[in-house]
Amino acid sequence: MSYKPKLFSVPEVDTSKIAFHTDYEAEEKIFPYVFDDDILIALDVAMATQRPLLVSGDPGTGKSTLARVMADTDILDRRYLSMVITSRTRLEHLTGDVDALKRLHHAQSAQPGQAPLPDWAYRIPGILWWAYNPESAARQGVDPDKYQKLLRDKDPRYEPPQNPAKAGGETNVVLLLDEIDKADPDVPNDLLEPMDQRRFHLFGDVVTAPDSLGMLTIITTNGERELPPAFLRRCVTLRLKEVEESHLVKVAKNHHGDADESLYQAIAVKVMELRDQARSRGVRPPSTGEFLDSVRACKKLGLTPKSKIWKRVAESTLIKHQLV
Amino acid sequence: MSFRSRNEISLGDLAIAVKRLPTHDRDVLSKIAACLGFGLEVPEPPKPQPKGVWDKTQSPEQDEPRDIPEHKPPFQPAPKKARERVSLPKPPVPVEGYVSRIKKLQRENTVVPAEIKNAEPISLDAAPLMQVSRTPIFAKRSERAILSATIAVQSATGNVDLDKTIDRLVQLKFIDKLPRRAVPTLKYGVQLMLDRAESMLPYYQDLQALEERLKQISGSSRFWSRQFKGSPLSRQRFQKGPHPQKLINNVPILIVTDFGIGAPFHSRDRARPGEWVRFAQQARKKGCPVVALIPHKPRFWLDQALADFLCIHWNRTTSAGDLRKVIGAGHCLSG
Repeated sequence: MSYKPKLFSVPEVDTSKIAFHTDYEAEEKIFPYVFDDDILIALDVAMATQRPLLVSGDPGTGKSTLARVMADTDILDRRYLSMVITSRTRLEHLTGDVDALKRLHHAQSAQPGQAPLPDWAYRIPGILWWAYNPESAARQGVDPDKYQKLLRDKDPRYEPPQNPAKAGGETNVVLLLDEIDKADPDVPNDLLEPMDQRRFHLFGDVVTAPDSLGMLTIITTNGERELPPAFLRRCVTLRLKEVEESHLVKVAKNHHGDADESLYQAIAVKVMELRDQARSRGVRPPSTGEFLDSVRACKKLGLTPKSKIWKRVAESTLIKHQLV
Repeated sequence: MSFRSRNEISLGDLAIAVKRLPTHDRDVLSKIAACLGFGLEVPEPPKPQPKGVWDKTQSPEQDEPRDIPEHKPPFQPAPKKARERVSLPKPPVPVEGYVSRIKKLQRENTVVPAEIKNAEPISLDAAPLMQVSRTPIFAKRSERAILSATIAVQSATGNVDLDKTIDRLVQLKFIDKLPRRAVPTLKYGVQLMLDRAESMLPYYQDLQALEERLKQISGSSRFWSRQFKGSPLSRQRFQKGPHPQKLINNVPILIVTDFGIGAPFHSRDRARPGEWVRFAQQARKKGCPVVALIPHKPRFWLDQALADFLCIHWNRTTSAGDLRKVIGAGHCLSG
């Protein structure tokens, strides 16, 4: 079966034109993603039903990268918004919060006769606000007149919020909520209404996404913690499977071109061996990301798995758990 | 498509997906359905229970037997009649004594049927293991809430505590960090201690299920499990997994034990009260709040344990609401 997506298209990749990168700038580069049928179907279903796509899988299997790739100009060409969830993340961080400390400092350090900034000037729009209504988020939820007036006043204390969206289209959006399993159990439950009805209550007002907004929400989980059933029942699910040797070689070619295919093949074979060993010992097997690290190291240092110091390279990139 | 009244994924979503992604490929259809949580395979019928195995779920009395109050009649009971003794005649003893009338049977030439002769013994290994369904001690619907409330720790990450803020402002104190209200968090994880003494053997499956459930709730990276026999200080304790033996600072301890209540009187598995006290001191020193889950009724609990630990009855009647009343927004970490 070779599935062709119906709601987006994946460009053909010419790996012969891809050059080898190890620079930091290259890290910002979006490399072609190796899609399989399961991923394409899940993305199509999520877009058709306008439901969030919950992607699970082992670390380093490309869960977060998937969102970034989908927002790319070659595929959906959308605004890309992302947030890594931590144990301290609350719903207010995602919707909108108030910088109370800044407000207090301004009040304490105000010159005699200096008028305070309006309350709304201390609002911090969250990522959902930017996703649903970027225009309203930019003006912190007030009338355009009031916002323009404050801008005209050029008060040095006022810093307008910066749109966190990375390059892409103007209206539609790809939203990544990374590592939802790290959040407190309340957060997924709190997200039910904003994600379900595309609206949330904030500062006595309602922020609503327009019906015409095309939105692909990708939520990733490493499965460290079970998610609430009500949350799961609202998501389209995708489990990224363990990849095969040929897939690893394809990923390496998409990142570094097909000049050294034999090297990729040799490292992929080693990764497969290490994976089997790790599984039998009950430890974490090397991931695709770690495979790419070892490829990068070998290419930069001119090594192969037959080199004398290969074992050291493998220890540093593929079997870290033995050392730490 | 309107987003105003959407809820959980339903067959409507499946219909939308199939309409927008038209295909005749059965595999693709199956995968589309699977993404939405629907399976196209016919579910297997439940396996019948073997005869002679008591299934709690099939019993009309799933809960523990309740204490039935004794209803005494409002009037005085009638005086009991004294039973008359009946003297039975002694059986006559024969002069020659008792002689057995059992006769030894003569062995006859029996023919063993061919099917029995050629039959091979059934291998026990090949026989499928019979799964007996188990009713969880905490109701499945509220188990997550109960366990979350049990191991939650207070974290000052809630809304701004206006009372404290105003208090500081009034006292002209510099506010470098906004005082926030305490909210429960699971980010510290949990140290689970399972009592594997003989008296806890009836709860073997429940302990395993509890361990798995807590691992899911707290996250595998913040979950430490250890086992002991009777005494939490016992040197014989055996470790599960690569976790350290020592208590971890500032991580709540959930200890599942019966304090030897169900153990035989002379059992070596029962810890002395002093050992529990010493364990409580160690935990306090490490800043670990200790919660004890006890399968027996509160009237059997050790007074010493009541003083040192937060004791919770491991029973279907325990609710998350009751626990929150006691624990509030979570345990306070002293460290």
